[in-house]
Amino acid sequence: MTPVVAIGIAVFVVTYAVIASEKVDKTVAAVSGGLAMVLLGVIDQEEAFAHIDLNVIFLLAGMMILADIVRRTGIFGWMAVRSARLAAADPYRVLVVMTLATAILSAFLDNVTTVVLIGPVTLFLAAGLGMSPLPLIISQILASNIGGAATLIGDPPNILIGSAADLDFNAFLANMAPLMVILLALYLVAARWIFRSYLVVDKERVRALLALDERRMIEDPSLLRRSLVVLALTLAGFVLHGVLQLEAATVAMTGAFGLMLVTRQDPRQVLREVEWPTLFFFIGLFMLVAGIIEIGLIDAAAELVTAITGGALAGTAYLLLWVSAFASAVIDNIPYAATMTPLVAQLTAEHGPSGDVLWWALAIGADLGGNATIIGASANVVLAALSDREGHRITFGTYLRYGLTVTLATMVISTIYLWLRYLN
Amino acid sequence: METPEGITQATPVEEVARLVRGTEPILARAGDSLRDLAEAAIANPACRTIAIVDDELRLIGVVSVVELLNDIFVKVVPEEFLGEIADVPAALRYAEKIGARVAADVMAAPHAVHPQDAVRDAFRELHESGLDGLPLIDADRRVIGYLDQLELLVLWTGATGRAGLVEPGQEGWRE
Repeated sequence: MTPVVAIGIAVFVVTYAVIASEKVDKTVAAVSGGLAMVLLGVIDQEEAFAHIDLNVIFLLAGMMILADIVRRTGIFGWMAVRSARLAAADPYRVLVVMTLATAILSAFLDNVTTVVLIGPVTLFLAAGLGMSPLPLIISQILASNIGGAATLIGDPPNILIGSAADLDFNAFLANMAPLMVILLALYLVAARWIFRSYLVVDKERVRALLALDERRMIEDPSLLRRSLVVLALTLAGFVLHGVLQLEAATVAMTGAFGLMLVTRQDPRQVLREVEWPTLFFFIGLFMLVAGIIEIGLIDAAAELVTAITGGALAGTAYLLLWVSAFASAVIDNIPYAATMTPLVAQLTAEHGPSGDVLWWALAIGADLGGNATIIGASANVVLAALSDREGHRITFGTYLRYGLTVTLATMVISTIYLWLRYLN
Repeated sequence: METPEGITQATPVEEVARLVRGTEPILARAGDSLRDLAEAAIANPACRTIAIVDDELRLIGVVSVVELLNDIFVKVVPEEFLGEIADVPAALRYAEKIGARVAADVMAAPHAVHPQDAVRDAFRELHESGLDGLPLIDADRRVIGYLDQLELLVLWTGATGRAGLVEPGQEGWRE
């Protein structure tokens, strides 16, 4: 092993450990790791910058801008309150409606934004119904990760995978969404039994919930109308971007700046709301991963995987699915996916078009693995904190009982799905 | 030379209590319900900051009437609050309000003034805490009175007469 290879591995491992330890902000850790690769001579700046996938960065930025403007219209709160009011008479119906609302919003918005908008409504509902928010919060954690997995723009690992594999919005809809619909439907059926002791309410208290008025959530009807038109056009753009020969980032940025144009938003205010730390986190990760690609670590890992599975596509897919799920349960799935995409790119190249199953195995594992633990994804942490503040603590162990069980079940079903659809 | 500004800044808080007819403090316990707090506030409307005290009447926290109103109305008209939530900290604050049942759940840090504190110190405490009034406490932190921001205005107008501000139409006013 040459000194450069040793330094590259050391920088990568230390950066990963620092991100996992949460002792240092993950953005600072990732960018510092990326810069260390350059400063210590593992790669030069040109190579590091060349690995920054601007399709990912601009797709994320575009969706952040779109989500921020549309959020200001109050439409998401309207949806949540409307759903709650419609379902207010029955706790299981409340669970189903709020879980579905979370999954649908998560498919098009980032998961943290979704739970910030839906979580408070859930807590109000639980308090209003006099029931513990635990079944609703746990269902929403699971739904945010399942719903986010369904589309190209629903979860950051999907954006990374879509860009690296040149898989478009429709490819994710066709390959990921059916599985997620099945998983969500099965979960909702099981939830009635899993949470049967929690789904009891005082019927008298329901009257207060029926007095909710969702119309008061709409802050600016004019902004809402224009936003919905642009949002619909942007979603149509995602569906048609393959036909239009446009990259997803172009569609997202056109939607974002088109919306700023037609709604006359102050760009300084809108751009302040862009999650710059997240964008720089991705930039740092791309630079970090560039280092291990250049020193040949990805090649070596690909050879190792091939040796373990004997080069068989099915074995590689199942290995990727389960390893990704376990890895994402304990570490952030974004750096994991950023590291794995070049590896999977190598593995798929050996199998031709049928090798795409490896991308879906990675996406399913990385997206759903976060459901296993309370710290498995950012949305989990936010919802647990909301519940804690409201006075209902969901401990690591309490969540693990439900999260791990559901994750194992979803992984088994996903394994069967991969086998039936791609590997049979 | 004592200027009106100097008098206003340096006057001890106990002097304010002598100049104006003092307002009785509202005392409540950490375990009192939000309804108890609301009823106490209604019984003494001039006092806009409720002092939360322990068994020995020592100050352990405060609840402003404005925040109490928010904590109660978040459960009555949640739509007014839900629409404002745009980020994680705002969602966490909302969750705290939804979960609030007793004074301990809603009380803020124990902001207060001592009788010997200067009015400028009282103003700084009011300004930084965002409260409309402050409990007056003795050396053992027992609540002995209440100082309202209006009482500081009374002191200022008394010290400066009408010379404190140059108003439109007066000599020295610049358009």
